[in-house]
Amino acid sequence: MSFQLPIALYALVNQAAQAPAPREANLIFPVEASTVARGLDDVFYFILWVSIISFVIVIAAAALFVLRYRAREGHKEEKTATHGLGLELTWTIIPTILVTIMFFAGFKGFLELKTAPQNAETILVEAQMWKWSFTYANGAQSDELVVPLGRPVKLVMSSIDVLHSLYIPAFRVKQDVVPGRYTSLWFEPILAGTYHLFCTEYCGTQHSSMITSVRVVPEEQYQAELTELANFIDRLPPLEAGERVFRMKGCATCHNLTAETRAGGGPGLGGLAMNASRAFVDGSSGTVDEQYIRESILVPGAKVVSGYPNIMTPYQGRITEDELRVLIEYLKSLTP
Amino acid sequence: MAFTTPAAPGATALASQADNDNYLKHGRGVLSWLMTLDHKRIGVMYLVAVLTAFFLGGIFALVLRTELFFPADASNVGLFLTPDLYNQMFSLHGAIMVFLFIIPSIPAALGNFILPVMLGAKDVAFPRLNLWSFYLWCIGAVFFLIVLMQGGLDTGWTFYTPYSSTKSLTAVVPALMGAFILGFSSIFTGINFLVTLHKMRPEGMTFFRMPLFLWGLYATAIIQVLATPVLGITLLLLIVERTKNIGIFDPALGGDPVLFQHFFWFYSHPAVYIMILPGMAIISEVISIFSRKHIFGYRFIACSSIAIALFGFFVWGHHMFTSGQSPLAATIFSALTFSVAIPSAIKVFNWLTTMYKGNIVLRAPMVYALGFLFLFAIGGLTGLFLGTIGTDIHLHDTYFVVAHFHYVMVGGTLWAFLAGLYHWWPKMFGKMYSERSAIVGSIVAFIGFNLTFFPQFLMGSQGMPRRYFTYVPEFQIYHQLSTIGAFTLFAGLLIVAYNLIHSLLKGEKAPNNPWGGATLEWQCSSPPPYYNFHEQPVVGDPYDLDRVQWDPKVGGYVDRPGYVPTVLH
Repeated sequence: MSFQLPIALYALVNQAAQAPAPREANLIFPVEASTVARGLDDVFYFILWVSIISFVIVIAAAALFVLRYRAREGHKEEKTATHGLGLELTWTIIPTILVTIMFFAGFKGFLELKTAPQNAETILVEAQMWKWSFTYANGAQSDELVVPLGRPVKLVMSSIDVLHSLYIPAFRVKQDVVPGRYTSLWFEPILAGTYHLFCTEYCGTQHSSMITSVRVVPEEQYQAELTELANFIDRLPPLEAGERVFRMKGCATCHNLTAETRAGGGPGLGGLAMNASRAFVDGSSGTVDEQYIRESILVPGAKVVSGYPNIMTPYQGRITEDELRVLIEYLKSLTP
Repeated sequence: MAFTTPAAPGATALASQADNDNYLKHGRGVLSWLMTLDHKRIGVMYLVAVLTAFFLGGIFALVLRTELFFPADASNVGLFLTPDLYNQMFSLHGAIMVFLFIIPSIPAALGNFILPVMLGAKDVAFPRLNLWSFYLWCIGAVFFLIVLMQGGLDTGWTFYTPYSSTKSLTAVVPALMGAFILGFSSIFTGINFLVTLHKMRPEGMTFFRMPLFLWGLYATAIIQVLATPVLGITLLLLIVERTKNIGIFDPALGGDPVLFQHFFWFYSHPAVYIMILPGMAIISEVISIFSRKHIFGYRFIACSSIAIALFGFFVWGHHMFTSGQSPLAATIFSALTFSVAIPSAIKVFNWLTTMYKGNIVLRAPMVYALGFLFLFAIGGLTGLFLGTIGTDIHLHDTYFVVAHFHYVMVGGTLWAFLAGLYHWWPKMFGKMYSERSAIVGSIVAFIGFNLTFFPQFLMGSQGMPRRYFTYVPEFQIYHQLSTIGAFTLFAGLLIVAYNLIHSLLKGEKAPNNPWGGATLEWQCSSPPPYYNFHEQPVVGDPYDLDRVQWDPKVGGYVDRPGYVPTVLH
């Protein structure tokens, strides 16, 4: 019950809370593309105004004092009181009230962020160094997130290696993805469009490339895309299917499709089939064939190409035989 | 008193001896410095050391900002760094600035020099421990040099697991050892100050008659002694996991990565107050003296330092709102976090009221103090957005956070450090500096600082994550402004460096009390004699500025003749 007062106060000072239309992108925020964004931004603007007013009071007073009381001919300091309980209490109590309102307003927004609706569409998220993988209800997988417009979505997330964090600025949501446990977040997109999805927990060399997008599409298109994404290997020719697996598995974060090395990544994959032999860090060498490519995907540490660190995540158990088969065909087809 | 005439020749001899004997001349040669137990020389060595670290960390920052002027190309090739090099640069920038510069800056460099003199004492309680603390700092710094030679560190200064314990291919263990050793350096300084302040206050100086700078150092020392051991243990556990594969933090070995974050922030949040409390304490001294006014609300300022030190221990979870800690814990930490905002606000308003109806002298220390007020206000207020749990979710780990803590740690601590350095410089080295170039440097740095970090607030609220080697195109304008600002800031700090070096070489001789302070350090000569005081100074109200008056003959303030300070017993 005592919680009601601060929240009511907050609603009172924040007229904007009554207008539910999402704001366009502005100098401070990207567009408010989810149901929670508007309310959270309102809290932000409330704190912003309190801050601006406090700041102006402090700086105006300081500037005024410096101008009026600056040392000059004929000016002398005046003795004033050296303490005053009334003043001290004033600037203790007023900020206390203001931050209490901030806390409750932020707490209310946080509760919304943490309470996923029962009927939310569940999408599984797997993070690894350095890609996102999304698995949908029908078993389809993708490297970019596709979500239905106007329906709540819950992401259940896990990491296979280190900490990552899934962040969609347009939705104002963020949650660390922690190895060894599941974390989740939810949102309901209210504007169709394509938005950034960033990793915001530092995760090593290619952290800044662990970026993908969220596409918000109408329900029918969502269902159609899911169907299209599922079982594509059976429907598409091997090279096309392989190209899709290449994207889906996040290979492009570290490997160029040409023979050139990607900065901070592994060997370029163009012209693989023409490289009769490769030198490895342990001094040995070997021939490039299907078996070698297969091993390098499943257990990359077994044969590490000279001049590169052993940092690739093993795909053993994380790629199906069908996917592997078309992926190898695709890799062999690349020219330098 | 009646023996004035017969005593005169002896007194003159004593006075001329006093002129010649100061701590800088007392003993010559490198060894007389390296083996010294004199708190003043240790303070000066600390000053040189932390400024060297600051320079190195600053160069790393410029390298980062230069790289970020353009995003990487389609092949992820940057302007001149690789992603790995960039990651190492930001990690070392953070680690060096935090562990080697900001934490020791005010307490170990300025505090070491000023604290005993402010007490009218000869030295700190444990001079050998003091020297040992300095050498631990040096050993810690050597470990960071080893890190540099072994190919860097790419975990960030936060060493988050399990990346740091099992994945990183860089020299994590030497960096952890370095931070561990630097922690002990910090603990030793803290113990020394605690004991000195408890046991060596002169007659008449009760706790509530101490200068506020000493209150700030006292509050800081509490944190150093209570929090730093937790960091030490945490770093050791991480070393054990990395070298022996004993599962503590890595889930693959049965550990818990979030546990590391709890341990780490249990130290590192209070450490934020190790950084800012002594800075606030300097501002309290400077604003009173340069407004020619008794400080307003002495007890509230003093107690707010202790309050910040204590509350600071209960808010570490606000670094972890998105970490996967329970929503209940996150809510409680958010509520507790606001408790720190109140004492900070109290300080700011008390400083303002001190300036009211004063006689404000815009000399370099005061210009820095005013800069502090401006920048710290922004730094503190933007903390409200991050303490509020709902808005933090969006802002966490973006450039908004980077901008916020740079406003607090650079705009706050560095500005206060420079205010203190300019304030006590004449006392420390017996030389005055060019007021003009000090103020020009301050203004250039101020403009550069705001240009560097203000765009980062907007970039962050737009969604730019921190610790990114490259970025999506819409953030380019903010990055470019920020980079231009960084070089402007650097130029401002170069003017400051030139100004201070010029003062050392060619500065005019400083009077004993150039600004008219009433605290005891202004009672001894500049620079202080080896033993600090020839006779025990009389303790009065530290902010009773009527105790002194301007004397044009010496170009400084002298004791007001006939004025009887309220002698406190």
